[in-house]
Amino acid sequence: MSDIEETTKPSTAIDDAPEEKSTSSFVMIATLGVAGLLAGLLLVVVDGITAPRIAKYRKQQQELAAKEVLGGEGRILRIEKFAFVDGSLVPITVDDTGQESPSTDSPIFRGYDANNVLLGYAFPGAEFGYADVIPIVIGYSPSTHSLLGMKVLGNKETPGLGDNIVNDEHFANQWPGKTAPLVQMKGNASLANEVDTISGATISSSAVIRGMNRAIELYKPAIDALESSDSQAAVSATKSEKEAG
Amino acid sequence: MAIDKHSDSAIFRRGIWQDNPVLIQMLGLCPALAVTNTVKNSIAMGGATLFVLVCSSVLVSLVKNLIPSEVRISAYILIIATFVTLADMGLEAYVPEIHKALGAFIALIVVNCMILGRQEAFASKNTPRKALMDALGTGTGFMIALLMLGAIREIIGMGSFFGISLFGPNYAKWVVMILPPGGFLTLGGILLFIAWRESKRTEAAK
Repeated sequence: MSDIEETTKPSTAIDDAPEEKSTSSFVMIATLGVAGLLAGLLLVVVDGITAPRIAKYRKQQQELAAKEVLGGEGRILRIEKFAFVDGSLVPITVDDTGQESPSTDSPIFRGYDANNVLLGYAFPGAEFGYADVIPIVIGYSPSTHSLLGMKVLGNKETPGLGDNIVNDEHFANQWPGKTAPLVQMKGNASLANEVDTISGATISSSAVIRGMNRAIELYKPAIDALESSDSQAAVSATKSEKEAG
Repeated sequence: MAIDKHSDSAIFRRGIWQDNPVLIQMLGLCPALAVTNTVKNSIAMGGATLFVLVCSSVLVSLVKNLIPSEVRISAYILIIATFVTLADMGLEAYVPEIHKALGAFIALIVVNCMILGRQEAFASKNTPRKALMDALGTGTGFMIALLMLGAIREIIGMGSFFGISLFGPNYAKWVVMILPPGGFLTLGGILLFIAWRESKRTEAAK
């Protein structure tokens, strides 16, 4: 073709590299060592810039999803964060530097509406689907012991089939009022503990339901315990009309 | 043709059509098949690959005389991997939605043979300026091929273009087109068309 040669031909074999005077091992190691060092430095610098942004975005997403399963962002006035430590919920406090303690990757949210009435709790769950782990957030009302909602946080399920756990409206909206443990049905759910899977996305949708059951089993005792102790404290202190959960 | 084959614009244009990495050279097929089920994903993948290709080509061309030939492939991979990690972190920090959609395929840009191929075949033998033009051309060609695949698959498979519904809610989605087989079907169709056109042209030239 031309002298700025295009070598998609197998002339790329090691032995026809330009003009052989053999290079000492030291030079080779030094070259790659220096290159690796420079690459590492660059990555550390960029990671320092992007990591806080990524962490902040994750927090925002968690909080947004929590508000959504608690009944929509518009309804929420105040939201509190808890960490799940040794089977009970510990309030997360933020110090002056923005550091949270106790720190957790999967906080539990408690939301109140504009009249300061408790809406419920939002907590995370996860279960293996068809392709990968499906992370979810579950909204739960301790006063009625029933669900408020569920949101799939992200999924790598098969586009067009498994990812209907996000796109299927019946599946996405069937949760409010349901009570755990949930029983899987095939489109004919009627009782309070029955929910439908999605035909064509059976593995993914039943994984979501399993994940919900597991998360509820894990967090429900802690939430109910916190609620009853909180409401007792509230009643004895202020005789407020807070509903005992 | 009176055009200088070595001019910057000729080098740029060559990668776009005549030597299109996906459609003609059959390189980089893994991402071309895997993440082109929507136009949005195609653009993100094409953009990330273009970024990595341009940065790597220019850098390789700049340091080509410093790297002993025995370790050049390792050095290229190191350079490519660094830029891929930068792109990965940048996408996650600034466009997290797209980062989520592309998943593991961003990291796999490292092993996109098209990129390593351009380093070995072109950037390591030419000036940074020519390497830049070559990378821009090849990267744009890759992007165009991905867009063709993404547009066809999204329109048929989801009845939409760039997320905008085209045929209304009653369109019976041809779901197979956004699944892996749809990638092969579409690529096969495009290659068939190109080969058919080419054979017509050589016939006419006779």
